[in-house]
Amino acid sequence: MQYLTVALAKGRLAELAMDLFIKNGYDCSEMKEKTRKLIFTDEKNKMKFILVKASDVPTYVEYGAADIGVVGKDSLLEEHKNLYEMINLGFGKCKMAVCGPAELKNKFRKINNLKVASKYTKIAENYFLEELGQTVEMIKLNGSVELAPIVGLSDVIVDIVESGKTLKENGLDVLEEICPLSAWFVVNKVSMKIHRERIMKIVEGFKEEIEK
Amino acid sequence: MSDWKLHTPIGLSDILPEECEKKKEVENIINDVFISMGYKEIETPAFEYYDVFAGGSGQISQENMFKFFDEKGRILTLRPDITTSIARVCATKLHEENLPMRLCYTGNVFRAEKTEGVRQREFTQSGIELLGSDTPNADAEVIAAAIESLLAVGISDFRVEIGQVAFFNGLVEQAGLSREDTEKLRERIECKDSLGIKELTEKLHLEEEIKRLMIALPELFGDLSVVEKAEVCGLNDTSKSALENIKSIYKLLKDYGFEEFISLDLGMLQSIDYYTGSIFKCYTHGVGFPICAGGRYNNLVGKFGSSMSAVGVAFGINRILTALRKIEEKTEPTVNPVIFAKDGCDGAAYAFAKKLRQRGFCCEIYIDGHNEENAEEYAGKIGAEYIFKVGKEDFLAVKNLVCGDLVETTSEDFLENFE
Repeated sequence: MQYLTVALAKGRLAELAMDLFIKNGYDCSEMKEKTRKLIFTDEKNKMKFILVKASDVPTYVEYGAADIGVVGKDSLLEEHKNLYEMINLGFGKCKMAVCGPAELKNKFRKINNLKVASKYTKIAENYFLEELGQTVEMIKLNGSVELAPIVGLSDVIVDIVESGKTLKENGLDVLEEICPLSAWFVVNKVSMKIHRERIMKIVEGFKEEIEK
Repeated sequence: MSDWKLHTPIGLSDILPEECEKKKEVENIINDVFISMGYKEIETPAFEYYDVFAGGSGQISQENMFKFFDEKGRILTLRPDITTSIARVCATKLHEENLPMRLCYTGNVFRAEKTEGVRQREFTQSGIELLGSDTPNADAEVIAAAIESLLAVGISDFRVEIGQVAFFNGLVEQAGLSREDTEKLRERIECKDSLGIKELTEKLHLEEEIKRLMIALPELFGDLSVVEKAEVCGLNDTSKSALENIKSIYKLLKDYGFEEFISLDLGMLQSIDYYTGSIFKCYTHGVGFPICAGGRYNNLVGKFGSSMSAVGVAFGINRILTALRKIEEKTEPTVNPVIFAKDGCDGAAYAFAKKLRQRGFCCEIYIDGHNEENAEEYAGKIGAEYIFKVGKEDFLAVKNLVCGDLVETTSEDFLENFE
């Protein structure tokens, strides 16, 4: 039997995903130990678990380097890869939103050449160009995006909002919600066909667990 | 600044002799299969007017095409695929030919895509188009050609997934869904996200039966039994005939002895603006992308003024090479024997080489002088098994460089025995 490889987005999502796998009888307890290893094997079920950067999960899965992935919808939307997005796992809930100084609420859509800073330039571009029909100037940043409106680098930002605490502390507000986000179970299209039984077994197990 | 003259542009690559030899071999094998099935080879230009590929009916969107201008300011495009060009040729130049018409091609196509690894901006496609027949036998023939080709190149562990986009289109038609809702639904079905479909269908006020089918679609893949599961009461004619069609195709392929390679997937809904009926993709272990893909596109030729039903398949040669690399032992590249001309015997050596070549045998002539030792050293270095030394009065020495055996004879005798 060939190994099935599962790519997990490093961090909290990986831990929550592991719990789901463990509940379904897969042994990835090794991952719970504090270690710097990036690859773990469940010999009994012939499964390999790999830890990769969230935004790389869709790439691993699209290429078939991993058969299965667990990753946030934000990475899926931003990377826009060709794969099966099979189950919304429901955990890791947050949202993608346009944020900025509160006084821009209901106004930012009318600003000509609105400057938008974001890590998620594709999602932001898609939202402004396709959905709102607004031409904007995109500024790609890699972190601490909340700073951009404060120091005048941009008018607004597009970012993930969980509690909104970071925003508040930096004097920003949610101006408009773009879409809800959560963790998804994704599958490589070829793997799905070749390992149908094994993958569907996991899918069914996970669905049951979620619908509980 | 980088020294650009030392590099190839992103997504484009040189194919070095060793790989090129393998690539040509694969191309030739596939082409031979097509020719043996009655397909005639055709070539179209590497670039055309943008208008040929523009518009909604194409498979490739405009941002993925390389564009430039001619001297009159018209937009030109490096061809992003060959099927569209063939459709143009058929509608404008071959529409009075006897139908069905069988055409095949091998050529490079260009896509302005973000490149990572296997996704190249220039790559070779080989394929066939079967035009002017709308029977399931035509679809089955094209799929059979794909299977025969893969077997011929030495890939036997693969699966052809066959779908039918008209089935989904029929359901949508029946439910009277808007374009927007259809796209949302299609996208969720293509993702095999049954919970997401459920959520969507609940908002859409669909008939119970259709709703159930939509939710089931992601799992309707496998053998012929999936068609039975889809055959519920109350389907409209479009959906019904789509199911009949996919059933016929399956049965034909089974009769041809290919059942082990095929399976059905009614939830395969890519490029539904382009395909009008059957759609198929071929997968193999170790390559995360389909190695060939095709389907029925009855509306494309009509775009060029003369409508004609059509079905075709295209192979990504590079992906086939990737698949072969995973299953094959590394084969040694062929090394040709070396012909050495003794002093003043260049003419005789050339004549001897020519005779070998006429007998279908490849060889190279040593061109760096008449020093025997140097020639032998060179032949040994490139890994040649034999060196032929041609001398005066038809003298020929054949040396096996592996074991050192030396045979002295005349070239006439040698060629006679060689036959």
